[in-house]
Amino acid sequence: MISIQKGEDLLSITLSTILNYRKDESEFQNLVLNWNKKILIEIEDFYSVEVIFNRNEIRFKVSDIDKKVDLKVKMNIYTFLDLAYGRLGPVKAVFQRKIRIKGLLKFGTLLKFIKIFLKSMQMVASDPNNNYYELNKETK
Amino acid sequence: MTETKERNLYEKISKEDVFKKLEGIFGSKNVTNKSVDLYPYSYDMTECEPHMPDFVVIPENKAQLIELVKFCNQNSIPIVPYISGNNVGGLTIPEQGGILVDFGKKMNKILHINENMMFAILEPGVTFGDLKKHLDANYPHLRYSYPFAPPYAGVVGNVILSGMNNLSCKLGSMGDSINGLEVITADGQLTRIGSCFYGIDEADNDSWWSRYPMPDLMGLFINWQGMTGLVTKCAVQLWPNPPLKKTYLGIVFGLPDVAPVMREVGRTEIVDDISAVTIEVVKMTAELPEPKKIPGEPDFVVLFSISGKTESLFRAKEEYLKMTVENLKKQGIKILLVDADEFTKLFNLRVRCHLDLPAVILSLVEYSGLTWFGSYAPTHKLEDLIPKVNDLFLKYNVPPFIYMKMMKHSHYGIFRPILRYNKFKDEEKIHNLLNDIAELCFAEGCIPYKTPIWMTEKMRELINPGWLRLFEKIKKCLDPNKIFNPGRWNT
Repeated sequence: MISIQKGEDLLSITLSTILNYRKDESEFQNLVLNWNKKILIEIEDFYSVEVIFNRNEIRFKVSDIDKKVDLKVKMNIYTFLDLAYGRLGPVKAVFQRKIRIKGLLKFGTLLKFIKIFLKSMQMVASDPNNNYYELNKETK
Repeated sequence: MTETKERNLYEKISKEDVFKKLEGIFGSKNVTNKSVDLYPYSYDMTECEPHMPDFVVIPENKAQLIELVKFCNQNSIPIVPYISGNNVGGLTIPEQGGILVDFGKKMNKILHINENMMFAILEPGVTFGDLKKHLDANYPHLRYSYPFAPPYAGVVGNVILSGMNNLSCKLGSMGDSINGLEVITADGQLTRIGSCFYGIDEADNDSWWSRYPMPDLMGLFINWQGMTGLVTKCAVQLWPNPPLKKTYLGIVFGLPDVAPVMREVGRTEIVDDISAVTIEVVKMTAELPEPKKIPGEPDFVVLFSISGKTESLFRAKEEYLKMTVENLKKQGIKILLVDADEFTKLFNLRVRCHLDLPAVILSLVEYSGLTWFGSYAPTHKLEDLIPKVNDLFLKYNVPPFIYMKMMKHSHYGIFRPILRYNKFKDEEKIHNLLNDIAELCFAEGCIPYKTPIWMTEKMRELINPGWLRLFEKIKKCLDPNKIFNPGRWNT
């Protein structure tokens, strides 16, 4: 069982929505369980959020961009949406410098980041259901 | 238990005789004087002091209401109109007791839709949900406009109190979109106002097509909060339903900067609606009841709705909107423009309640109490108002909830600080905050609508005496025995 913290700022709420979408999926659970990495995501014009993977927990923390972490990813909101909605691929985005990554040589971490985040973003974006209550049946 | 304010209503006739008379008019199943039935009508979500009605009646037709008005006028018994009790101003709290007329239960029919001249004739109890469902099922080429209100809120109450909806940037106040009214005045006379005024008896359904050009008597009933007569029918305008619609989200950094953004986009004349809320509201909708803005977060989110009948027209509007935003950026305003559908899906689908109207706006229903300073505002004062009101919220340790709109292509604006609270717990603090906000907004020239009594009392000190004298004269002339929603506007 993966536990995902509820976000309290705009970016954390978004990341929490995205990651929650797959939290019951076994492939996702295998990817994040015991990953024990810290990923810093910065959306230009906003701020940076540190996503902390610790055993079966995923937590969010608004952090400074200079914070020492395993991987830093920086993009603007338009790239974020383009990636989610399939208008831009990750490789192209890196080559066009629309995504800037620090820790690029940690290839395994980067690959896992793509599998966790990018795939989840795309799954959320492509879900035709726009009804919160249909997707979250346990909500009153 | 709430109590009725004393006015000694039953000098001329006993309560028992009133009850008998009401049973005679409405039938015993449609009249009640039991406390358990009356209690829900005695209060609303706001801080306004509760008062019990003496009777509640459920009318089915205007003949019953004519008889009721004549009877009440003869015996000086108050009549309070009620639809669904969702107003945020204590408007249907029977300030002086009397008879509460619940239109919502049976007088809730959509009487006619005219496709050619695009209007609907409604009974007072028709809700936004009823109208949307009816149009979608039977007239998909027509649309109405909807406020940030639940589907069970009444259409007629919204228009006759000059509410604002999701076409208001184009149309302005909903009071302007009334084609006609049927009203019972104090003498029991049935009056039709608007182009439906021709005809001795019933008006032709297709005759409710315009408000003008005869002397505009509509103003005697709009915004009077039921103080001048009982509305029994209302014709509201409908509009073509364009196939292409989209909402853009303007993410604005800098509290006062949202004002020029709204004004400039409003002036483009291409936007159906502009609604802005503080970032805290967005977070409230995403299940954070007491949010705090963190450094780096934007200050406001603005919804810009556009629509078009053809692809090229729609694209042209999109292009113009984007160009306007680019120009604002060049002036140093930090704004990001994104597709609202795309953003909400990734952020939190609950915020779609602001897009899929009519809907229960989740941030407005989380607490037992809700109140606001809902006002029409001069748009050039918004830069001053926004930070000052924001500071007041923070001073009282309440998350800032500011909602704004641009009306009629930026001719005027809506400025509405909203306060959610726990009734009986935070009441005093919230009332003090609301009072401070009201003082500040009055000083900047804001004019509240759907005003509670304590607020009109303050306004009376600021209003030109000539206006007040004329207002009193009209009220006295139309309601000499003080039967129509007495107490409103301190009458």
